[in-house]
Amino acid sequence: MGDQERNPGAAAAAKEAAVPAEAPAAASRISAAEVEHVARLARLELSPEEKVRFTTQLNAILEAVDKLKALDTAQVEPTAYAVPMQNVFRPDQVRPSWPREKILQNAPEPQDGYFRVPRIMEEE
Amino acid sequence: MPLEDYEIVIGLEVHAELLTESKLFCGCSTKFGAEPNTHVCPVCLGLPGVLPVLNEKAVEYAVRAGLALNCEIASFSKFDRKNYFYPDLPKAYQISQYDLPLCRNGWVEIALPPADENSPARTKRIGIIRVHLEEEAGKSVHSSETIVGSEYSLEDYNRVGIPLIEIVSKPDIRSPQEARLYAESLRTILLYAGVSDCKMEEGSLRVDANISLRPRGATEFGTRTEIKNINSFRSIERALAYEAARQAQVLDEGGQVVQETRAWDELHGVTVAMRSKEEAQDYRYFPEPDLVPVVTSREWVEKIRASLPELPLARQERFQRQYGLPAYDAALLTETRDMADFFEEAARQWHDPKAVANWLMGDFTRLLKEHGLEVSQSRLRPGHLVGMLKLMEKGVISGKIAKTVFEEMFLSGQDAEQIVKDKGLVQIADTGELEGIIQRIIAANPQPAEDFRKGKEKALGFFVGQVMRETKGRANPALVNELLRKLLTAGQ
Amino acid sequence: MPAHQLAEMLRRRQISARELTEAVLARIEAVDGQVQAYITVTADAARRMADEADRRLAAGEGVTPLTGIPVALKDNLCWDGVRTTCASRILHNFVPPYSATVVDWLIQAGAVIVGKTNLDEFAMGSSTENSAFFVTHNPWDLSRVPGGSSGGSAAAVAAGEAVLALGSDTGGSIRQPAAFCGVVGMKPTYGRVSRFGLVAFASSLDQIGPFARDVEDTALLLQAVAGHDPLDSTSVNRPVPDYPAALRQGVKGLRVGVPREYFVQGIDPRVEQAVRGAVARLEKLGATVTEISLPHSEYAIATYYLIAPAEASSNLARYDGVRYGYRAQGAPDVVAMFSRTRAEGFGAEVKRRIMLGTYALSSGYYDAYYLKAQKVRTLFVQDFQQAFQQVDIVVAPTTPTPPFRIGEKADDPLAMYLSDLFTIPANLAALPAMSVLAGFTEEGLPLGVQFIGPHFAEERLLQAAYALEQDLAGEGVMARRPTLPVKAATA
Repeated sequence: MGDQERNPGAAAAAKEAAVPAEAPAAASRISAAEVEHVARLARLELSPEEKVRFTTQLNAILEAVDKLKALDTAQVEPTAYAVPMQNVFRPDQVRPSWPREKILQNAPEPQDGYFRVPRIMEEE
Repeated sequence: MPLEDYEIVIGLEVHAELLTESKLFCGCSTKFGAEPNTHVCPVCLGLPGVLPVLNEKAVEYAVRAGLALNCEIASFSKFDRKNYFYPDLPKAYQISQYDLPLCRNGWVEIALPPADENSPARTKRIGIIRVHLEEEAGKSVHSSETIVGSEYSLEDYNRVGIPLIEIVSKPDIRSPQEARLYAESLRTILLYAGVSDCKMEEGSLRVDANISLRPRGATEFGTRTEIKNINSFRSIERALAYEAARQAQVLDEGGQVVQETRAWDELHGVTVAMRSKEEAQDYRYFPEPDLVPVVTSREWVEKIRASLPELPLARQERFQRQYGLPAYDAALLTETRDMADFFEEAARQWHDPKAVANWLMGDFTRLLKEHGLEVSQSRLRPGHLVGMLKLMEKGVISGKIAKTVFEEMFLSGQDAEQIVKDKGLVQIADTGELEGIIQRIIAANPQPAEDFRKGKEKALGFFVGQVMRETKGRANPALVNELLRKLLTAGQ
Repeated sequence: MPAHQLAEMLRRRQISARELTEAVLARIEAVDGQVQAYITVTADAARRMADEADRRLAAGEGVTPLTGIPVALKDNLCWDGVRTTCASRILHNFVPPYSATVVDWLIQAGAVIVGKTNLDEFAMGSSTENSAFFVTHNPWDLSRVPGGSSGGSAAAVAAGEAVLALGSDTGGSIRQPAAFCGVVGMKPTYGRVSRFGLVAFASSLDQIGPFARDVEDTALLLQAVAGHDPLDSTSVNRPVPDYPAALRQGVKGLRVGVPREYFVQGIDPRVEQAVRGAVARLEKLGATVTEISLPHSEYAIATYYLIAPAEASSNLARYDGVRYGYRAQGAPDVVAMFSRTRAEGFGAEVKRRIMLGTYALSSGYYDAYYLKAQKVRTLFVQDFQQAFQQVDIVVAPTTPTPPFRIGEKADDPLAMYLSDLFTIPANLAALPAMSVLAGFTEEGLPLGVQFIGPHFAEERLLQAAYALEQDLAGEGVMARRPTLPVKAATA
């Protein structure tokens, strides 16, 4: 990821700019193409029937959650932690790792002490 | 237009593994090179229901690194999840820091080589946007040479969760050489700060580079590419030089640089496209609900700052000032903290720091390299070197013998005096003994003797060599010269 | 019979833990065919634990109020060596090699774990119809849902298939099924009970809590699971009060707030009547009642259905078929393997929420959806802060309606989400809240009333709930049990 994206201010600004200002109420909030994009992001293979159903349902849900837009939150800080806490640490002490049999006990396809996966097509 | 007419703009993202004993969020060991999946527990394997608990030392090391890089330390910092799917990422998110990193707004000063011999050394400041703390991913072992060519891959999660810092520079770097110097400086600083072992070959230091070109004088940035898979300091320079030339060619041909990630192919010396930014991941960062924020107190930060050693550039300047070393020597000796400490300990006990520097940069560095040792592992200590220098000054051993003694000290860890005594390496400074030897040699070599007498000075060198061979280097060179001249001419 | 009475009998050796456990196992055998509360019954382990409890009771060593008491676990709590499914196909075969902290503590207390109960897949739902395995039925009316997501735990306690049970509550998943099944359920303050070993749904909202037949039992189970756990960074390091000791302090002078916003949004009149009745009883017992305002209540569903799915989309990303759980076969590459594993492994509601959450976090929508919801969450925190300056506890309905019929809302996610309308705010503000029985409809369906308190005011909730319960007991309301056709025990 590049410098510009790493600069949170710039990233936030970019996000702001990308938000559609005020979608017309009648227009669908999420298109079939967006549903497909989101499904790809979430690594969910959807059937054609699911794509149609999820597009309808997500639109209904998004319409319902759009009621939040009525609230003016310009001066409100977001809450990520409702019970304020800070600085919870553990000391830097090595604890024994687990026997490999236990680590691999649930593996769908263990091989030579590893977890085997099919061909990786892209590099992260 | 030629590459010189473009300005190269580079920013580096450097990842360094921290030297904690245990992982960032669990107690598994961080040691390198274990059998696959033996440094793993339910937490780093991301089994359902497990939770992370932050390693305090990792936070301290990240702050330490930030201070060494002249950063501001955040009083309030938090962790975020970076979401993406990859088989080496067990939770399918990496715990990282997004908008509130631990450290921000730092800089590193790099020493640029002088423009020519008569110019003074120059330094340049490279800005650092941020330093943040995050966890490592695992490793995929592929069934054949390349990822794409592999039918399957095998996942090893030993490395998962090792603490990392990511250091993001400003796009202040203007040449591939500056990029390498910056990366080397970072390495030196992190080593001094004692927060990372920075071994590129083991992957504990990794460098990704963003590079773009723009016509000189332009203020807008050009389209950049990101170069990954750079595996040595030398490759930083090579990869970026290649990429700069490639981009220049694309632009010259009227084309446009595509914003993409490219991999450096060390073998072929080229960069190759990996994926374009269009299909780039959307990481969906959001605050990590399983961890609470980190709040740093001023006292704690100041305590860490006070515990930092003198950093390389400052030390380099002091070495020049205090010991009268040339800039080159000072830079070389301050590359690692151990070497610089070694030098100072010896230099404090000896009146000629340059002699100390020469031994360290020469024979000592060579021997360390030959034996694959670090300064800290050497049996030869500063006192040994000083003892040997004393014997040289007293004339007990010659410079040539000293090389033998030095190597012996390096191997055995014995004192110079002991070695000289045991091996009978004491210099022959007895005129009578040497005269006998020299006379025999002259007698055996009438032609070179004749040449010398006819004014051929070079012939003297031949006789010095012969005497040294005969005495196994133990003859006092000054005395040999004196006696040779005397006896060669005396025979006339 | 409630645990506190059974504990007394166990201590006096009037019954043995083994006998009690056998009785519960027999009850499961007899009625679970109809209720379907359990995914896994751990009869052998339960017998072993009961025998161990009997040894302790005989020796008088390490005896706690839970020693020998049969307890059920929601099947999203890990128990070392026992299949933990989250009622999902994707974890149908997952056997954790470790236990949740609460499970460890229960075992240390000498409790007898009888099995793992059904839930909506990954705790996402309000009816337990979203289980990948089967639907759990409400013991009071088998054609109705037990609520959810901890429907199996609630139904098991209501049907006498367990004396106590643990559930988890992210938006009401303990309190809503407690209300539907006529039992007591509590969601403690966020951080009061360790989440380590609870399979995460929405980490900033999830909290483990007790189900019990009465308030005193609730206090006993809470006592056993509350406390600081160094394995959970969000677990709060503060002393745990003596909960049972708080029960009998009465409500004289207690300031009770009734939020007006909770009685306008299509609430069933029977529910309203029961809640108002409960408030009247508290007033009769000496509490002062004030009408208060929680002005942002109407935004609860919208806020919750952005935050919870967003966190869930990330928490459930790890189910990719690499390290454990279900894996789709025959995928040509790893991306296809991930996508098919998840397509085949997750049910419709889970997929819907993953999609919604992924969307809410995605580039271009983060500020409009996720960040907006986090800001509105602050307004919920502030609403309650203001309320608790005027009153000591808030009393409100637990659910808008009595238990609904199986299938009634299965095809309408939004209608289903409305079941959580009154329970969500406590999760958003991290507050302790509990549901207790307030009465019955004419057809004999239980109705719940909810008590909400400030952070770490669990004692105050128990105290008020106990007073109400005692008052109701005086009229025989507490003695009512569901009548289930009992299957003849198989030989």
